[in-house]
Amino acid sequence: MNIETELKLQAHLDGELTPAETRDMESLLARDTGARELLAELTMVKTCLPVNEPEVKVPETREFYWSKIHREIGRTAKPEPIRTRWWQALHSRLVWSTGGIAGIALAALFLFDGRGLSTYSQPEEVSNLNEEMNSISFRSEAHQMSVVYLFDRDSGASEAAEVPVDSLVQ
Amino acid sequence: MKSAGYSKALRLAGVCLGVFLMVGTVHAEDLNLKAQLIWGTNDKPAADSKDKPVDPALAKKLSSVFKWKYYYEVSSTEFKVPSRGAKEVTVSSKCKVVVKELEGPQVEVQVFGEGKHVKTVTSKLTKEETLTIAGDDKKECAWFIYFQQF
Repeated sequence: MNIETELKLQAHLDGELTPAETRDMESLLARDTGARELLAELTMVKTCLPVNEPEVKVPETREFYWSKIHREIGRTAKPEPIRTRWWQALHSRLVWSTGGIAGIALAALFLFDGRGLSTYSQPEEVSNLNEEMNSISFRSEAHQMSVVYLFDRDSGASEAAEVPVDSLVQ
Repeated sequence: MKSAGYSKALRLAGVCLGVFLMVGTVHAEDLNLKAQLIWGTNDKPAADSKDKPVDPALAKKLSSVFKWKYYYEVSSTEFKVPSRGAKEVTVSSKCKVVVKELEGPQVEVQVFGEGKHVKTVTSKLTKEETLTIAGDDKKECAWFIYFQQF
């Protein structure tokens, strides 16, 4: 018996099948022992559940019940804050700051290349002093190469004029 | 016990700062650079060509970035830029550059073509990072000024 048939059996028990489907199901039940056994099992489960489920009732109303919980939470004593002496706080700050300075100095030792803070920047045009020249700037990450390509703005034969940088590169 | 740990931490911080300052002082030095004027073309070299091809590694690098296949070295100049100073370098009869060291691993390169100030470029330049200033040449070729630090 496949899943679809089992689901139809459940639907038949719940009275959810059409008359035609009900007739088909009844003919199946007449010839199939497995189907009859499953139907009996489903019928038993359907009967037991509503009858045997225990009902637990709270003696008071819902609002009163939850207000008791809120009161208990509020009544729980807060832990006392740990009091530290002023010299203990200062001592711990000094130790941490000293350790921090040492860490920064060590990190700087490895990061600095001796000529100052290493910052990367794309090649920048500081000034375009020649109005006839234009330029394209880009960087090849793979080859760690910054490129500034100059071209004559007015030149009709320029390789780079009015074309994107993709035409210059591989 | 606690005061011993505290004084140890202070000593370590002092040593680290001292080493850092020493390293910083030692590295305030001149910049050793090399500028190569390179010609790039897609024309196959003639059998009797006297053009000097660039180093194969450089040729491979340039052909990986640019569309030209063949690269020839026109000139190569090694020079020293004083710390936080500038140096003028003639790369060809028509072109010279003025390289100035800036703060951080950056240089400012002023390009002069036929006596005229063409462009000023500011870029990072280290032993790992190179800078190439390039432009069109006749017959769909290109010129490159390849800067590297050594």
